[in-house]
Amino acid sequence: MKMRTMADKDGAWVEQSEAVGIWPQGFVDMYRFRWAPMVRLARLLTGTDPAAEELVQDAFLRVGPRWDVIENPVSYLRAAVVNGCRNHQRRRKIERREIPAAGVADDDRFELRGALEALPVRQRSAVVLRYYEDLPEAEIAELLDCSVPAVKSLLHRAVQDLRKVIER
Amino acid sequence: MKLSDEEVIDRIREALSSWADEEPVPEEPVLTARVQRTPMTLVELSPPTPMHRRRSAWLVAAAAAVVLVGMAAIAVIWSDKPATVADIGSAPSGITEIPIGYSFGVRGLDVTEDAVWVTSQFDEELYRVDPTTDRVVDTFSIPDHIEGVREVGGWLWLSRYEPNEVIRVDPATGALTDRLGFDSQPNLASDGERLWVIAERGGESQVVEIDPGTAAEVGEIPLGARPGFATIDGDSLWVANMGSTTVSRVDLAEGRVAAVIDVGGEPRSVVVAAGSIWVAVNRTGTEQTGSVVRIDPTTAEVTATVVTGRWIHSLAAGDDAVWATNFLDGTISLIDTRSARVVATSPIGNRPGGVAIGRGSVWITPHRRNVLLRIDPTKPLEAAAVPDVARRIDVRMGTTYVRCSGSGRVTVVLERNSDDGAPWAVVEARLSRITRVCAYEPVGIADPAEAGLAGPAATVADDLAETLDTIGERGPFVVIGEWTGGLDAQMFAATHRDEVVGLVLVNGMSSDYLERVRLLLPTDALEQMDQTLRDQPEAKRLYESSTQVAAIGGFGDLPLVVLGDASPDPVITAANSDPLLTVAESEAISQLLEVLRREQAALSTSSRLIIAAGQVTPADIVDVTMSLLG
Repeated sequence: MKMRTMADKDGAWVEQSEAVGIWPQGFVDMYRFRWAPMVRLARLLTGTDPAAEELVQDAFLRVGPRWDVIENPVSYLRAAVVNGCRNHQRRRKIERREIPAAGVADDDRFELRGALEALPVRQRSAVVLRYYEDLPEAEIAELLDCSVPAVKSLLHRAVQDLRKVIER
Repeated sequence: MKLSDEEVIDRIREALSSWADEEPVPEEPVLTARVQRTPMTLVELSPPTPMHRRRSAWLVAAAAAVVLVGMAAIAVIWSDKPATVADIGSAPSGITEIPIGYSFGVRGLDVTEDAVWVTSQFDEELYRVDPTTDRVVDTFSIPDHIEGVREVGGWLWLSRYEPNEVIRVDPATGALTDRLGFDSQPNLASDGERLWVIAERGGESQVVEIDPGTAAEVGEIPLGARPGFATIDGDSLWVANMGSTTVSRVDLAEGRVAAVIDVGGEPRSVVVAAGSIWVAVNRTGTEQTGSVVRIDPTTAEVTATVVTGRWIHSLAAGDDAVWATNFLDGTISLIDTRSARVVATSPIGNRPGGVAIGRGSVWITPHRRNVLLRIDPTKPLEAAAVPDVARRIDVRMGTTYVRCSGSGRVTVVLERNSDDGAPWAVVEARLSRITRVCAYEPVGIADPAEAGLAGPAATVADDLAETLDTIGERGPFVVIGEWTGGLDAQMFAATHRDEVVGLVLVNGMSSDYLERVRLLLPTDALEQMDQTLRDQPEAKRLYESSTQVAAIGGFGDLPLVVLGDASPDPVITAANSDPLLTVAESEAISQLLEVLRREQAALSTSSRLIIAAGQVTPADIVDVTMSLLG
């Protein structure tokens, strides 16, 4: 799977061409098809953090070497992205972004967007996974490492908070 | 207004999807340059050159993402090989590229007397580069997310996450001899003899001293702030407190935090240079401005703030100099420690991350390419343009960004909207030595939060005119547009004919391109293209722009240069489409592009059509632009 460059006995450089291998085709396909959607998901989960792309790279990094043993690669990948984003958020204090100032605030889309960004991380994660990724609550519970009622409660609280902004 | 839960949720869904789409996703980094399963996969995995990753990025991204037959072929035609430094021109003469690893780029970096150590978490390998020959001499397999690497006391110390550990490795054999666990990702700090780990443990943030000889812990100091990167200066350990706006000075002799200093933004990398502490500080928000803050270690006061570029990843300290990698700009800045000023900023591209100094060179690990960059600091680097205007301008209901530099009778206007600005930075830098250059980012690019406000070509042209007027640029102008930016450039030239004295279209999209390419695509490809275009808000803008530009007719005798890439081999292009285009179809698309270029050149009675030997380089753009300056 890897090309290594090594010195032969005389110190000359040879490329060990027999070591050249390939990524499994399924992984390559998944990488191409899932890269952009996963970056979008990571951006939502992290609140458009510049690290989103790297977190997604890291997630692929988990999946690649384990390709042959993973049962459901897409779920595994998504879980890796969600975990990566969560750990990243943990590593840094979450700075709530300000709601965009006057000039754009009269457009409610921006206000809602600001409110989404300002949600507590777990609430936002639940909202993104439910209403953007369209995942069932049970799967969200697994991803967020909590119970189904807890997911329901996170969603309920978030929707009520956002309702205030929408109805304003 | 009282809404049902369903209605509220619909609005939330809408808001989420417009947020997710507001900024184009850059191409996936190249997975491996060594994928050779069949010849046809060679090109597929290559990212398009940054030159092409602009507004049209969605076209290419969509092609890659949705198995978009026809569009995939087109995308390949427009960008058929990975970006290399050669693509951005020949000038950075003092830069050597050392191929290293094979997948997602490289991260950790440490330079010692006889070795340069580089980690790659995706390859799960640690590489040793011989700085005499610039070749990889050892490759050690180290699984599980290794990041940092430091040589201390004759051993290699690596930090990794998941598991959060510091491990000790024998540099001769790559054998792992010891491991120390923490509760958060550990960061290493060393002066070459002593080793400190900054991490959380037992619910507390700590600075832990390790004896490099025995790998045993010899002491710990509570930090009281989130652990981040750190550096040692005598008996002080300076720690960037991640997620905060402060830096802590830990007194290692007294075993306590002696000072906490506010640096006005989130600190990242910390180094010691010329008797001061230098901290990379990034502000969040749309601008992601990065500055290097100087702290006087005796008074613990901030004594200087130097803005370098967008989002500084790392710093390295040399003699009288601090180097900073501006991750989002794709540039490296050199700061003179005496004057605390940026003396040079140079395009590097590809998300420069780690930077270190040793063996008379500056070493950089780019996150998006599998090379180690070695810079000879004694050779002149390509200098980024030094702007005398760099500001955001309010137009309509959005903001544009404009940056002007240099002086001359004619002002060259570049629409700059790539997320990896290195190639355009080279064009900008070189032209600024000859004449005046204004790099312009339209609404939606200048501030990604305003992506929904991006307008079609006529609006972009109006905004550009307003922007130039606001900063007092009167022309005459030479306008350069690339790919879809070509539509904007044509529109500006047409609506401001009196001020424009030249137009350069670099692989510029023709106004009837979308319409005519349809005729060549097989039905399934066409359906997929239509589906993709329907789903993309960008598509509406592009069709509108095309209609507006089509209405222009011609440019009379306006000097026009049509500059394009050489056509790729249709056999390779066909083989790269998925499902396959026939070679004949691929050839027909190539031919169409050639026809469109000729027609584009015929829009003016004073035009030239120039096809590059391979892909258009910044040097080509500079050359043809110079020919229009008169």
